[in-house]
Amino acid sequence: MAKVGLDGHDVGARVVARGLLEAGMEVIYTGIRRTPEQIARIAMEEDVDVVGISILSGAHLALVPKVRSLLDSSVVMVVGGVIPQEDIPELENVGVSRVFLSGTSVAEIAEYIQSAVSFPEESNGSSDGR
Amino acid sequence: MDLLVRRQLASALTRVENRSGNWRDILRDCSRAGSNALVIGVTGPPGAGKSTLVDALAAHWAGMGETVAVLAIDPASPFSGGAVLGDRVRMTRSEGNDRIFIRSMSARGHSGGLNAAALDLCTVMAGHGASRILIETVGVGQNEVEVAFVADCTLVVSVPGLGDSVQAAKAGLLEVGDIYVVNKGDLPGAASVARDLSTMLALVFPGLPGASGPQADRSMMVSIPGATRKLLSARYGAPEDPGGAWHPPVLAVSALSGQSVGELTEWLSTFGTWLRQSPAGKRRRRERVKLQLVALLKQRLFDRLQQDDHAGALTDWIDRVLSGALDVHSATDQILQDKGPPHAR
Amino acid sequence: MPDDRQAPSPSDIQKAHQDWLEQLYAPATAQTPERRSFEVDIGKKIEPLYSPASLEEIGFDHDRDVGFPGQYPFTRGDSPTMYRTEPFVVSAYSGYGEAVECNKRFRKLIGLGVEQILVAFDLPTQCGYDSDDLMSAGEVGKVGVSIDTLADMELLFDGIPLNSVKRVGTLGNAIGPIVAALYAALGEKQGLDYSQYTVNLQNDPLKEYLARGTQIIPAEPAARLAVDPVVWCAEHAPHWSPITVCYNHLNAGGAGSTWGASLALANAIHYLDLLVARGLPIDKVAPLFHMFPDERHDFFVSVANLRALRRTWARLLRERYGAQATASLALKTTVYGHGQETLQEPLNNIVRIGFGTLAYVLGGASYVYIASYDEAVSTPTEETVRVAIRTQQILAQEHGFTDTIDPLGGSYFVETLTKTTAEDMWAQIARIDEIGGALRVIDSGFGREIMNRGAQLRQKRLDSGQRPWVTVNMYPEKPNVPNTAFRMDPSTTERQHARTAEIRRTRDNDRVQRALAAIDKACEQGENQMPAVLEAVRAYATVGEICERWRRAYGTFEPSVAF
Repeated sequence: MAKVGLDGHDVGARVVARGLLEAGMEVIYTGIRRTPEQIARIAMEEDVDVVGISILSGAHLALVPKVRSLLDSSVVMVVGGVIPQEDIPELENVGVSRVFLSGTSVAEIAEYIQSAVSFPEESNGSSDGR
Repeated sequence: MDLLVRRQLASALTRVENRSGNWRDILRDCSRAGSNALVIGVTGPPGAGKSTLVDALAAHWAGMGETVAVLAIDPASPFSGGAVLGDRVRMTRSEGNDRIFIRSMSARGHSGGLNAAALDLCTVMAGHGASRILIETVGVGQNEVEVAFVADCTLVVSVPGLGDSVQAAKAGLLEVGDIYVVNKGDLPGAASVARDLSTMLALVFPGLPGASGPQADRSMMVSIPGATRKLLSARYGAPEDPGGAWHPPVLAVSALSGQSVGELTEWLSTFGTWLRQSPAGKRRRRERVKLQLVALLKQRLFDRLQQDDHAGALTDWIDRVLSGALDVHSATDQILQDKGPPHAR
Repeated sequence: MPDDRQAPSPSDIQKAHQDWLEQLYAPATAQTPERRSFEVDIGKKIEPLYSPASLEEIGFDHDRDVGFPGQYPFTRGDSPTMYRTEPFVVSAYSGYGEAVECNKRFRKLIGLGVEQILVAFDLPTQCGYDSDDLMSAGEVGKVGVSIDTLADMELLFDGIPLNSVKRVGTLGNAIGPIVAALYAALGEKQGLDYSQYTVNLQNDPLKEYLARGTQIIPAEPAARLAVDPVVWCAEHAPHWSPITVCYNHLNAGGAGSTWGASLALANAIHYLDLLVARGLPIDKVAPLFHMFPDERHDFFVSVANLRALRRTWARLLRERYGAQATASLALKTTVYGHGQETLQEPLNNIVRIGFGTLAYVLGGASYVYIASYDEAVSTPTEETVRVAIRTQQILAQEHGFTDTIDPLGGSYFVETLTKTTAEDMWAQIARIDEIGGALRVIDSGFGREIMNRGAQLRQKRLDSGQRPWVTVNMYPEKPNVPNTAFRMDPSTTERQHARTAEIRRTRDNDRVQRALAAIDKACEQGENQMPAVLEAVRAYATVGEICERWRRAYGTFEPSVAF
């Protein structure tokens, strides 16, 4: 769960992170004011399945594609915030799987993530969900 | 650490943590590679500034040419098992550093226990070139305190204003620390927390802070019960031992400004020297392997029992206990008897 | 009953109230159950009915708890006349793109009757980065106007003398001395004496660490930088309001309006303590403080919150600081009218914002800003800003909302809420004192904890429908950010870069370097930053250059994370 750019409004990101915790997920929260490079590095070191970007400042078209281009292609990317309708296809074109507008319930986001990520059952020994 | 190694390490950690894919091969290769990595556990109450301290230490070592790996362990929800891992947010000095690798880990969901999982991840990190490994964990709950036994050296962090000296004693942290750090050392009250801690430690450990030989003053120790003294000398050595006994020092540090971080690393290397010389070092390594082995055995035996009996069988036993047909101890006896221990079949 | 002698026996009205509850209300709700549980975000249960019995129960005392407008404890108003002589000041918070473009919007606003302009700066400016800094990528001119140097301010107020409106200002929470200096230097350029115009700044950095997040340096030095302009104003411009302690982001971030007020008051205490420690008499600095309350969901809670805030402020200043002057005790408030806005059918937000603002007006706010109905979507367009201003004017002039002072004073319900809210604030301030004050609230995680809990609770109540929200959890519609939303001219960033590059080339760079060195020295020696920053601003140093000196001297902010 990442905040990109200078937008410091992180209530939404926190509420969603907390909600995903309650849905049994492990969430790495990056804190505010991260550069695309920082987010990509965190995503890589933590070997995450999904990157969620929360952005409210209107800078999504400038920043989100940059983050996407730095991420591994296997990583699912979702974006949440205030995104005008006509920008959504543009974000989807660069590889954003789903855009959630402000006010989306946390349950809906959790459900989507669960469906978008495949959990390999190649456990050799007892399994831990990560 | 170049980008390729960084990527490999990230993915290896996931597989080992999840016990998925070729995790056994990874572990075997990493163990075989051997290492002289020094593993430092950093523990203490929430709000003590552990992450900031870890950040400062990592940056310091990276500046001296070491390759540093950080394993930041956060508590998880007891209900959902989920977790929000945010420690790395505070590691601003380390995050862009090419010599530092940071990985977060949740404290739950590790069959075989947190310690075994943390040890495995340390092995993987060392196998990928880390010469210093910092494990950060919240010092609340037995599980987390035990992480102290995973590390070569355990730093217990406190901070003025939380009534920490008392907290530390209560949490059993006074029996595990090798070095005590009073963080935010520039805040008023830091000196008095450090003084309190030093006084408490002086009642338990011989001589002065650091390694001390046979002539160390032990007059304060007469009030310590024999059994406790034995446990302490197993972990911290005796004055007669080669290298002497270790008396944990107390340091006031400001991790944020980096003040006295250099002094802390000097203490860490003094401790490292002691650990290599003292038989306590060998005992600690032995104890660590034993812990790991026992944890894995417990888990594997239980897994096997469950696999053989299927989850349904356990449910039957639970129902029988609930109905009052037998108590849990008898149920355990019967499960082991009826099915027989796995190796007997 | 034997207990009757110890416990005060219920009065007639309490008995009557109880009888009504038991004999009329309870049987009726047994037949038709209440439609939901009536609880508000601040954690209070709302009773079916309030009566004189409710006031008796909480020990309400007219003289002690409310008094008269303009008199201690100022519950009913900060002045004796309130809106009878002059309605609240109609204000606009506005800014986008580059200064030239934004100037045109300001002229239109003034034409519509706006009396106070608070400039919205873009995020790079607020966070202390120049428009051409790497960190500014994609953000230039987005949520406000891009200001790199005094030259941008000159363009922004071209043809708008600072004394042609009642007040001008901006937020500038992490860059307080810079924005104070920008307005001072701009006045000088326009040939005005500081006494001829009034500047209002938010300049409240401490809340940024808990919500909003435009902090630059760590909280402790940031608070010291914030009081520098206050000290400077006390001497050079005593009628400016250089600090507005604010809780709209604290409330919106989850604290709720009561805790929001208490956290903000604790921040105010920290600033006041710094000023007192610098040897300034309380009655010289307290009048320079304003507060910025916030409650956008519960109408009556909002009215009560404002009244309780004035009362708590007066008590705090008198009991804790020994303030005597009426100007110290009577708190001026600035509000930003919001409702529970939605992305669904945004026109409905006009009604929500109107009601939210009405509550502030009935609570006696001194300065009123108001959100545009598309603000949840993007930077307001000219059309939506017009609606916002007209809404304020309607509230000020029509319906008789402002005809009598504190029209809800004496309402059993509102007085009960006011008194209990004031008591909660007082107790919460005591709790914060125990923790060790505002800085510890930030670094111990206590503040975050309060906010996180509140935010999660609010989200749960919305998700479960306990808090009804039309078009979201009732009569649901799909959220939609319309394409008509304001779009910035994409060439803005380039033009801004070019202008600032030109300024850097043509300014007296030796003078800039000397001024920046003076800032270094002020940091090092702990001097008031204002003289050095003012000289740097006059020399056309950029916002980023000045902030870089601070970053170097104090380090960057320390993020705090708690879940």
